[in-house]
Amino acid sequence: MRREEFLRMLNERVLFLDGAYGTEFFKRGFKGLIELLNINDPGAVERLQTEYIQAGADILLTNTFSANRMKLKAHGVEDEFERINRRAVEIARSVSKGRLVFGDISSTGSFVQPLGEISFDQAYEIFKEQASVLIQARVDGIIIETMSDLKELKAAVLAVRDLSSDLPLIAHMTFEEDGKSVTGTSVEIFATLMNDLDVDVVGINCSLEPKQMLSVFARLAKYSKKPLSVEPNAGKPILENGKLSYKTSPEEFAVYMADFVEIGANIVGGCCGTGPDHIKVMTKYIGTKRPRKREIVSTQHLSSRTILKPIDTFLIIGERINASGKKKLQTQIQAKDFSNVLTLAQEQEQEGCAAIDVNFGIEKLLSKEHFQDAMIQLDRHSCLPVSFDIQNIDFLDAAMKEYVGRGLINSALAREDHLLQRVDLLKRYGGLLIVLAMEKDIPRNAEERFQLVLKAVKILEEHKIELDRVYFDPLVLPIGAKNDYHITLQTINLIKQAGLRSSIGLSNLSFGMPNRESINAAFLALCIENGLSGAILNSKETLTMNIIPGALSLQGKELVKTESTSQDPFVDLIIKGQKEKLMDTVRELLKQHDPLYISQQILAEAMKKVGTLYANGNIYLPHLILAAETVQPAFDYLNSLLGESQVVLGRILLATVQGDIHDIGKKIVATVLRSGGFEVYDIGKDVPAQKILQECRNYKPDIVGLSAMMTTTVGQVKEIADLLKSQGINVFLLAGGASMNQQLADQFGVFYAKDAVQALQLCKTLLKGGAK
Amino acid sequence: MSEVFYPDRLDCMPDKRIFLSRAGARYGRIDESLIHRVNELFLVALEKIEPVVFYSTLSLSLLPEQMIPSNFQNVTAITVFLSTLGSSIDNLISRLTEQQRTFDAFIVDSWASESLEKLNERFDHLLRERFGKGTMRFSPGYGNVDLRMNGYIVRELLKVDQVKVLDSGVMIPRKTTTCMIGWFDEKRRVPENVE
Repeated sequence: MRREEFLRMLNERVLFLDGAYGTEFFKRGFKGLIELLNINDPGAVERLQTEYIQAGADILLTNTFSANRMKLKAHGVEDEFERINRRAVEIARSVSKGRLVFGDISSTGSFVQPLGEISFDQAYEIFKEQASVLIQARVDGIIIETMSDLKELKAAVLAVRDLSSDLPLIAHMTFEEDGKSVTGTSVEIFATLMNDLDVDVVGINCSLEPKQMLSVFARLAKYSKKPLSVEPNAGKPILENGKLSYKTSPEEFAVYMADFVEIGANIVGGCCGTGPDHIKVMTKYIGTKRPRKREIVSTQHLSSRTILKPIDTFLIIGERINASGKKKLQTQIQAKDFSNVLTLAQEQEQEGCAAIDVNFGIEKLLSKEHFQDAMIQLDRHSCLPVSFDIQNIDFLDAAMKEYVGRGLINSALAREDHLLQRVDLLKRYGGLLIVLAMEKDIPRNAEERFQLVLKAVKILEEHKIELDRVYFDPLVLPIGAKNDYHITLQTINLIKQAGLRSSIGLSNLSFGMPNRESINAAFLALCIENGLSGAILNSKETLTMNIIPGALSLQGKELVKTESTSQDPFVDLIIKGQKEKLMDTVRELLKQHDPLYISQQILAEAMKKVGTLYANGNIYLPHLILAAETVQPAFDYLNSLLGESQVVLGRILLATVQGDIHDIGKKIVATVLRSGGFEVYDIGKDVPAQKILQECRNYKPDIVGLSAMMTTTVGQVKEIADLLKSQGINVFLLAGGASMNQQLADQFGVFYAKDAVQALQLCKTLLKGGAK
Repeated sequence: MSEVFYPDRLDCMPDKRIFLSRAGARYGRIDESLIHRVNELFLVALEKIEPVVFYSTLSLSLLPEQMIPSNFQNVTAITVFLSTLGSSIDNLISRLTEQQRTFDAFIVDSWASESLEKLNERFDHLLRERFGKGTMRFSPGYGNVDLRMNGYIVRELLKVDQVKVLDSGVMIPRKTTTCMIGWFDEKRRVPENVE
């Protein structure tokens, strides 16, 4: 099927997706990796898919959710990779009765660096390989589902698009009730990046039941320019008569799905816990409906993984990560030491910038890896959106590929070949662009510069780049070299009159002059008066920064204020990953306090505040991981000073249950528990109950923590609990993971922790209380 | 004696756009907290109803003249049916009113009216599949048929004990309607889901 045809269908009426596979097969008594059914019991897949067709589904998904090579390898069935995927398409096709068959792709099971262990390229190749088999087997389209890492989703989208530019592509992420993914990406960041990427439909699925998902979806509908799809769960699983079931009835599901349609969904279906009955009642209740028209936010944003910056009033870009003429910074960058880059990034955020310009200057001495590593480090430290001030097109490509979010290309010349190279990157990776009003040489007067702007506009329009994604740079030249700044002001004015945005590199004006700050500030005020929309500037110049709100207020405009996440400088150091500064602070504190006091009264208290910030949604998973890693060396150092009297709160054994190969969550829990003062033994993933019993006898833990991500493996928690109890193992048993919930934990007779922070608090409480 | 049709709950799930419009609200304009409240009431009401349809198809000559709508010309037979959601939904509305939950009572009342209409539409559709071409659906109280004919329909024609008819023609439970459809060519096809 061609994309135009699919989009036409979407325009005509709301389409119905099918329901769950994993939980439905589990309900029907199947265990283990359900994708194996494609080759071991295809009749079971045929029956379920036939029921979905009879229920009114317009789109069947292939039973390939976990059928990427990485996941199959973890289950020991890598050799069946091609057969599982190919058969899945054949089975769906055989029962589809002319309805659409979409190849289903989901996470590799590991986050991409820096949150996980695999590289972007590895993830890309894994997705490309699976999509290739599905496309060769003639699916009508591809759906990428249940992604919680925007970077991993980006890898999957690019992989599919590199195989086919003609196939319909649906891209989904999964969000918590606060509209953020566990990796801290908001639904708005997801929507605005997907607006740029070459996908046909964007949507959300899993994690939430319909009533919880509605507000998240409403936010998606507000920010997404693409058609929308949605697949909620049928509630959280509960244990009934020894079997897991889901509480959202088909009727409740249908009543809520109608609301999604009213908000603007083009495709509706079900995720975990939904079955043919849910789909049947939904299709009958909603019936044939034309999609609703939506009111979409028209403002533009830059973003990183966790930060979304509206830029319509005025865009302030910090210029200070510029290695030109800074020998020490150049040497550090060459050695891939980005500590000063990170410090500069964080300082500029504090100073009020919305984005940071990254200009390494010495590109001839660098490689692609330098830019990739820099982007990974900036992402790891949850920095502001990036302005890519990178001249070498291959390096620019490498940086944009690695970047998570919607960045700014700085810059393209108004020369067609130069501009088109950057337009290609903009189309591939998304983001915004600065175009200089020059080709080879800088025109002498404003009219000539403006003519080049118009020339660039024509090229951009021909290549379908929305002009509100582009800033035009009228060029600022040093007044010290007798350049007339009025030409810049006149060009800004012409750009403004044409309804376009402009941005300048401010500091160039005062190059070589005394009193640079006052000159820059005065000129910036003139530029704003003439219609300037953004500037790359030195945000350390207080005067310059202060005139911006003033100049804007004369025009009746106001900058969006940014709030600091924490009022505590000690906590700020920790969540910003300032290991060295934290150690310096700890050494300073040691002059006044003993190590035990610093460890327990200062560091532990700061981590408690970090936990509260996380629990309240002020910071996100990347911050939490970084905080735990940042504080660990300080704890280790203090413990080394304490010698025998060092504080170990308790001993914890962690494992992912048998049949489950997800362990990123468990690793995060381990990191946080260690940073909280516990001794942690992580015995890995896919661990049988007997092995856990054996390791309990070896390590003699106080607490055993179990992770179960999948609904098909969550029952293992109860088996382990029963086994340990029957064998007289006296431990607290704690369980977590996407498929666990409080109700299940109560039924299994274990404790439940929603996330790493809750796990830490719970472990502390349990060991204070004593009784197991 | 009448025949009986027990619908699925799905047959009684009204379109939110329509029942909210009946309640004076625009579905697309109400805020999210209100949607949740409306949905909760929707599901509570759906749980409460005991929908059933009693019906009988008769030759025109067997019906009293004052019961035959004037626009039922050239019909050969008429199906008369009574649909009710039962008394529990009435009780729910009363209880909500007594508890001063006027908004909730208002929404459930609008919901139930539209639910009954949805049921009538569904049954209408099934009858047309069976009997072919017919008149528009007609209810006493409109045109030349007096509302008080409900007494005859309920007590004499369909013999439905569960429904009480007041002298005014008003029926208890409140969410009850009587309808008629005239057939031009009574084919008496029998789809499974009607009998």
